[in-house]
Amino acid sequence: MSDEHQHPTVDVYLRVAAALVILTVLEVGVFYVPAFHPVLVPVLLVLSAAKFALVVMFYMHLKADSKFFTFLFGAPLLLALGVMVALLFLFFGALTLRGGGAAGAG
Amino acid sequence: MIEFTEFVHKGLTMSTNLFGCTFFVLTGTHGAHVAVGVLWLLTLWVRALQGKLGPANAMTVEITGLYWHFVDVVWIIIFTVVYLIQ
Repeated sequence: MSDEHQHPTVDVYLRVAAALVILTVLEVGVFYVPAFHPVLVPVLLVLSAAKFALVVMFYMHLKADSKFFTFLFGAPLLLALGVMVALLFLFFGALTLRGGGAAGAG
Repeated sequence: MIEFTEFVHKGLTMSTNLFGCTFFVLTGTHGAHVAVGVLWLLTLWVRALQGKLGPANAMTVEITGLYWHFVDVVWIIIFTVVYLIQ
C-alpha cells in the first residue's frame, strides 16, 4: 500500500463530473448561438481540450501519478498532434496546387 | 445504431464518399470499444456483487478504469470534431 499514490476523494470526482457536464452544455450551447459561429472552431477546441485535460488529470490519475507517466502520455500525444497538423497542411497544400493547376490549365 | 441505420437509409454508406468512410470507421470503432468496456465493467460489477473483487484485485479495477476513461477522452474528441465542428 505504501507505494500507492493518493487518490482524490469522491467529492473531487463528482466536482469534475459536474465541470464536464457544464463544459459539454457550453459546447452544445455555442453551436446554436450564431454570434459564436465566426469563432466556433477555436472555442470548441478549447472547451474540448479542457474536458480532455480534466478526464486525463483526474479520472486517469495523471495529476497524482509520477511525471514520467505524464511524459509517456503527453509526448506521443504532441507527436500525433504534430503529424495531424502536418497532414492538414499537406492536404490543403495539395488542394491548392491542384486548384492552381486546374486554373492554369483552364 | 439508430444513427447508422438512418444515414444508410438516406444514402450515406462507407463507400459513398470520404466523409461516409471516415464517419462509419471512426464511430464504429469507438462503438466497438465502448461495447467491450461495458462488458468489462459489467463483469467487474458481477464479481464485486459476488464478493470476489477484493483489495487483491485493485490493479484489475485500475486498469479497467484507465481503459474506460481512455475511451472517454477519445469520445470527447470525436464528439467535437465529428458532431460539432462544421
